[in-house]
Amino acid sequence: MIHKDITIIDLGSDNWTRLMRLPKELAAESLGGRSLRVLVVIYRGLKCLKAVDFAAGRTVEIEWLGTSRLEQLAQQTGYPVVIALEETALARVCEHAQRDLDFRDDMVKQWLGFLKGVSREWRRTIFSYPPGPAIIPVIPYGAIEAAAHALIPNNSLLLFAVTERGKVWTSAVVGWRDGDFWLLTSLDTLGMEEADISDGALDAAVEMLSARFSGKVRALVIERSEMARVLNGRFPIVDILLGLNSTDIRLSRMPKRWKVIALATAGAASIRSLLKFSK
Amino acid sequence: MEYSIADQRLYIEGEPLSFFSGSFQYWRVRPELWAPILERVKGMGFSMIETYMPWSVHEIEPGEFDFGRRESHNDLARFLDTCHSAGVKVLARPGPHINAEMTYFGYPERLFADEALLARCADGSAPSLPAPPRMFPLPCYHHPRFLAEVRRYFEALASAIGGRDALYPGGPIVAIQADNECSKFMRANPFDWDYSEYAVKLYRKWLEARYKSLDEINKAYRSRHTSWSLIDPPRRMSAAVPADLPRVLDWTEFGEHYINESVRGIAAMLRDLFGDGVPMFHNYPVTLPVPPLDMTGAESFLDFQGVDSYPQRTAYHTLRAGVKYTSAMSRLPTMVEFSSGSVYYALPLTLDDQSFTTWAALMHGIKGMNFYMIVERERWYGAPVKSDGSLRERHYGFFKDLLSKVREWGLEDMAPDRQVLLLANREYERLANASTLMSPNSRLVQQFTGALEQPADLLVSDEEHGLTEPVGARYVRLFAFWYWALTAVGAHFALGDTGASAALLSGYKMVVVPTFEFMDSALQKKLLEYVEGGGTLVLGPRGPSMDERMEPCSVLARHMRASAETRTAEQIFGADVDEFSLFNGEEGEAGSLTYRTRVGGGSIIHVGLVPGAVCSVADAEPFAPMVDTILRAGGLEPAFVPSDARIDVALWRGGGESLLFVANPTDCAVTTVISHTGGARFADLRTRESYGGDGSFEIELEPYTIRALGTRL
Repeated sequence: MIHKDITIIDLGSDNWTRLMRLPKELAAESLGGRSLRVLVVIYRGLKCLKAVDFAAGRTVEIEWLGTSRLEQLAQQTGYPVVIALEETALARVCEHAQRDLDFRDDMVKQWLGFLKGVSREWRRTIFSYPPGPAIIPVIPYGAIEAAAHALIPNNSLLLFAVTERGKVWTSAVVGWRDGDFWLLTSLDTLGMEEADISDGALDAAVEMLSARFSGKVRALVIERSEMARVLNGRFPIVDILLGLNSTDIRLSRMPKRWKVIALATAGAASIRSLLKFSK
Repeated sequence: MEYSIADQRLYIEGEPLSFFSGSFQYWRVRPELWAPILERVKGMGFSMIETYMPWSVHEIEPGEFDFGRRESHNDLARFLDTCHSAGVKVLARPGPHINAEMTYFGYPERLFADEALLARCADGSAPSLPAPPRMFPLPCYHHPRFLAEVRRYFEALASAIGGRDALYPGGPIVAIQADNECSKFMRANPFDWDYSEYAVKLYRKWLEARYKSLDEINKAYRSRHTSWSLIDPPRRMSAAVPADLPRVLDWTEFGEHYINESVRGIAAMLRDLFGDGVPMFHNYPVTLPVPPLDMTGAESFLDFQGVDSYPQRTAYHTLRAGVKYTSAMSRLPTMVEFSSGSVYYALPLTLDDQSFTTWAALMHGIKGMNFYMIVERERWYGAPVKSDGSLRERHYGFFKDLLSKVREWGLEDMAPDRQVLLLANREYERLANASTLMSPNSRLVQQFTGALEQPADLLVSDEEHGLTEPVGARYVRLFAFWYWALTAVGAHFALGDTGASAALLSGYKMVVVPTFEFMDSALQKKLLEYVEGGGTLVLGPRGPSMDERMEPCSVLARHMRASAETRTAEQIFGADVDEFSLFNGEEGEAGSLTYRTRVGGGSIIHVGLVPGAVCSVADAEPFAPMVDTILRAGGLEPAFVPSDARIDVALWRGGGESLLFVANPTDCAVTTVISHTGGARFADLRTRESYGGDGSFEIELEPYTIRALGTRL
């Protein structure tokens, strides 16, 4: 799924730093400056070895009553989320994963090994409040692989670009061929790191990418302000439709199945908001 | 090749080498572009490049190598000839570990299929490294067959490039790196790995060399071992009483030996093939080389030991601390890898980050820098020269300006002027490592989230192990306290560790070292000799009453007073502290937090403070008057002290000239007044703006900027 010798070239300079910072920026916007308060307790039996608020970067004094009293601990300390880790939990997770790890395997499969490790340790050495599911299901690698095959047309190049007043603010190009992501690059590879891709320039970029890497280019270009609106808006489907109409969102050669999934997701989020709003 | 290192400069054939270079990975660039790209590199002012020489690229079948016969970009000899013809010197890094963001870090894949060659965790599984795009298991560097494989590659490589003929002046190579970033791959928790057969053999051999006889080790461990081969390493932190600690601390210290022996073995092979006539070096993957890294130990068999750093500008203090440490402890303080761009999956780095942090590294004493990467290649972004030879103009301009200023200002011939040395105590560092929670997490990993900007004991257990207090957790907090407190008073200080030689200590007027109830007896003697020789030793909060084997020992304690009163969880100077002790004066006067005792030609200053979490200058400011008094008691007059404690100043001297760096590591513009003694005059070396010499001057600093002032003192 991720090619062993994946080609990663021409990510740009400012381009890539902007892209790397994007998730954090979007998360900060959607949380409105608030951070998720999580208390992590590292324990041995009925002894608390350390209680840490990682977001605040500080230790917290607590009265540790064991893993069966996490709700009480959450109430006492005012943390909405508490995670309790037995002191050997992380080592155990690694051991589970390492015993099954094959260096030749796809990295997604390798990471699933760690998730399996977490699943095995769940409610043995790893606990949480709210308590979460009784078991952590681990999706088989084969299912993920099959889903990827079904959803992504072979020999595709996906261009994702965020623009600011029509100029590229950040971009990424991902290549998929024969069941593997084989390419990661950006518009810098065409010398278009901060180029204007309004009007016909996007079509030209699509043609050049296709010629350079031989694949069908499928492009999603979105204005930065529009992206924030879609992700944080109450009715994302409306924002998407308005964005498409105003060309703040532009699509090129997007497979129908992707459009359906995107609209269904946005629709579901909108319905959820509507239900919440009507209450 | 004749070479020497003196005054932190490398001399090749009698000439000082300007140790500024950039990374250029030949096998990732078309050979016809090598020469034109080298011209671009020279255009920035570099006369040296660095390159890895990856085993996995050159080995095409087990034992069969391609150095250009099959793939022209593998023609290493041609690349070196191209460099030599262009007048460009080369730092060679043949591995075997190279990372270079390659799949499997440059090791041939086939090695991992051989289970016998792999290292082992405490549970017997092979430790793996979660590096994209494939995780892989880690090899054991002490397995004879692994070493034989490495040797076979090195022999082929040496043969391909003409062995010693590739060395300067016949060839371009001026230094060789033995392995890369050897640190147990950052999985440095002592109870994580390596428990493989050959690692445990090495451990037993190391114990035997240390204790000489089974009687001695049995005495130290309170054990009944009848054979060295029956001694097993501890697999978890399990010390209930102090007498259990020597075994745990030995295993933790062995981790340092394991790393050093790994590098020593590789260095020995390279010396066999290339001779002694070339400097041999190594690099650590972190900026602040605390245990299990051992710079002093490494420089006992290497010519110099450097560090790597890829800092965002907000991580100024972690970078500053690491540079202060390396510049005090290394023979040739070098950033073997310093960010010029970044790897695609790491923290994003901008040119603004880079321009600020590069000058910050220089300001605090780095004398050599290799910019990684100067020529872009796959899996990297933001280098000044792209792999097709085109330029990123702003980046190119930055390096051109940097190198011209370094030379114009004569930085290579100057040195920072520092009179205080803050020592990390390696014994307590080991205890903190052994007490680090959530293995395989280790204290080295914490550096990536800010070694000093968050509570140092965030993931260090508060267990006491039968001692009177949690020494590991309290020590890391105390070390951070001293770092910030010395910063808050504007002290010009260096960092180091207790592995520093007596000669190194004697170069400082004052040495600060945290001490608790146990301390290595040889170290106590070394520190006492420093005091008797005229130095001022600042220690505390405890006088060590036991040695490294937890046996009674009073080398330092006999010169120290017992506390008259101890208070816990109170405020002092308006700040929360965990605990403080008060000591009565010689005449029985009321208790004070500190006192001074004269010993020989020098003195000991005992500070009975156990601080809370101190993570910034602001946290430390309440203690500034106390620290200022201590410095003055040691005969140190503050010089060039900014009125705003967030502003940082470093003074350099050399060749009759002085340079004053003033840094603003904050995200806001600051105007500060810098006080100094004497009537010096100053000029900004870039703007030529001059400042008055009436004992103080006002200076404006934009966010994240460093200004260099030329002074005549």
